[in-house]
Amino acid sequence: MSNIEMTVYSSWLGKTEAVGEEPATVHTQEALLVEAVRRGDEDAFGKLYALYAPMVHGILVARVPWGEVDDLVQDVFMVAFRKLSSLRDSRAFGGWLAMIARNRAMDFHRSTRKTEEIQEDLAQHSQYEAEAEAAKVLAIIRELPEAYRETLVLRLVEGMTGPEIATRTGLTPASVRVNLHRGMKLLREKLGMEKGV
Amino acid sequence: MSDDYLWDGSGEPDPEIESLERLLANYRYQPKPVEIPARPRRLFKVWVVAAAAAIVLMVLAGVLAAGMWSKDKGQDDHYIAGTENNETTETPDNPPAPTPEKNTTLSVNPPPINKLAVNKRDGRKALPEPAFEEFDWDIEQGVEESSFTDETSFIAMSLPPDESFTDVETAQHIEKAQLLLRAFRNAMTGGKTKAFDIEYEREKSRELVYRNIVLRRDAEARNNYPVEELLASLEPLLLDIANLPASPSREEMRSIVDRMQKMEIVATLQVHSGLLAIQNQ
Repeated sequence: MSNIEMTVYSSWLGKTEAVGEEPATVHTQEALLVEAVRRGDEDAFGKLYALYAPMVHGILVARVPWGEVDDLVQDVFMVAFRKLSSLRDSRAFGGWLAMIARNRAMDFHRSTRKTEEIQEDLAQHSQYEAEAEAAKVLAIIRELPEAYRETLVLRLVEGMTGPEIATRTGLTPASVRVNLHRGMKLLREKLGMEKGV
Repeated sequence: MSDDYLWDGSGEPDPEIESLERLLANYRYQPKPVEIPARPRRLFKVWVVAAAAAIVLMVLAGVLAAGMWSKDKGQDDHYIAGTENNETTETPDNPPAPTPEKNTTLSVNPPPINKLAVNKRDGRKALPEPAFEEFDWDIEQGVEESSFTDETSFIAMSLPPDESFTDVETAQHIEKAQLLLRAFRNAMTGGKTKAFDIEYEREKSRELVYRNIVLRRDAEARNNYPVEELLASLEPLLLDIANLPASPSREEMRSIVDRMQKMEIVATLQVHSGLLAIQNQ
């Protein structure tokens, strides 16, 4: 790592500490919602769903074909609702839910095949140029390493900020920041390559 | 250009990121009504049955305990009654059986077995302390005399051994992480080629990183600071290994191995695993 990169990285970490202070109250509110769901409050489950659906959606967009995402989002929340009693710490709900979503995506790939072909179709047969371009970019993001692709989808597709991603997924702000930085660098390289071709 | 826009949307907008956001907006989550699964009512019945079973068991246990207590009491009464009989039936025609010792209460109320065991071990006549205190002392000695290297025993002394481990799940995770980091380090030192095959380590690291997040949050919730700190320092290493290319260069691997050595992470993980093994003995 060069000196310049090191300085940028250090300044980033300096900022993340300040950002890291923020989610404490958010966590408390979400933990209260989880406790309420455990007591059978369905409204609280609706609120949790509204808060976390974009994260689950993003995790699935990064892993499974677009046409399957909506159904799988519902599946993930069904599983979470049924297994909520097994969650030991209510504040860890985000990380726990993210893990369910990742596992559900893995199960999907185990049980089905030819997902890549579906993506190719999506890119080739889209009616509009912009849609085809978007499908192509998404396909490139999906080729990135797992941690980068998930963080990038949450940022670029779901429009979440870095601190939001950290709060929802349970990753440390520093990890999210590094993933965003390195993932974006890789994406730029790959997009540059594509344009070059 | 600053990366602030990428981080939280603040600062000068990056045109490339903005165009990507616009392009990918079609894939964004569209709010939909949530389908809340109906709670199974059977759960209530299970609770009722479980509670009834627990009450029946408690009643049975009570009856059993009362029976045993009355039986013990009967035996004691019988013994005392026999002693009294011996004393009362003593006549010149029917002399009492000769007893070796006068004080018969020794055989009636023997000292508890655990106290006898303690007496045998250290030779003291009366020890009010329970036996486990000596056992604890043996464990502490075991830590000092174990086969850790100088480096690891130094770290071991800096950690509170009693509070570090409360669940086996975390300990197993720590052990797996330790094995992974060792394998990764060995892959680096073993090969002389420019690129390395670390596919297995990458896969393993991906598995461990998500588990690490959950366990770290769990440790945080339980105020288990040593474990929380350990897992927090482990997380970036696992992420970096998971994100390495399939055949990384020597420089890429060197940077991670150097950080591992600087943090002494393998030794710290080993100490935690060692302490758990002692705790489980």
